[in-house]
Amino acid sequence: MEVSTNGTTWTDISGFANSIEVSGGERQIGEAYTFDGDTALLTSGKREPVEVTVRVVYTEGTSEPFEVVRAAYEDGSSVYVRWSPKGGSAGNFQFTTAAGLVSSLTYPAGEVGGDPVMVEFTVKTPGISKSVVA
Amino acid sequence: MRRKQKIYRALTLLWHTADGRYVAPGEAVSLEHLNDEEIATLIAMNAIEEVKRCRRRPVRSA
Repeated sequence: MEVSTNGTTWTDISGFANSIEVSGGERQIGEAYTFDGDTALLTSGKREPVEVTVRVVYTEGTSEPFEVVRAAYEDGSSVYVRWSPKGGSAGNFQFTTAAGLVSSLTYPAGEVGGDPVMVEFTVKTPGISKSVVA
Repeated sequence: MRRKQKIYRALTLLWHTADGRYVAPGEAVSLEHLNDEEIATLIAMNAIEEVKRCRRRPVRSA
């Protein structure tokens, strides 16, 4: 799993991230019923933005995910996320978001204890494209 | 003995790990960094095809 602020240089965050959730992206579909026929006529509209939520371990290095995403969140600048579910070897699929914006970021919080502090960020992006790793 | 260099053409959007760039469908791509098994997997999934060079026929003057 990697993030980028320009779509060209990617930072590997596999050592920090432990979950990714994707939601949204519904295609707007219109419907109309006519006197004839039993079913609706459907028309295809555009797809809504997709939201990608990633959980990472909180760390303070400048090129590490929390700092990179925090800067983009506070600036309102672009972030790209991409991930390869099967591991990123040749032949595996890879999913890459289009340039997105950080819509939410949880700042570090928690109770006293031994668990590492986790933070979560959500990137809202127009779409996700699939490619094959070669 | 010189090893024949095979050229492949992308049939789908590829992420080329050696060059660090996307390869669009239809573009020629060199896959020297992959072993034969990996190339066979990509061909089996219709992600690439081998570009077969045709032999040039000697031109005959009329």
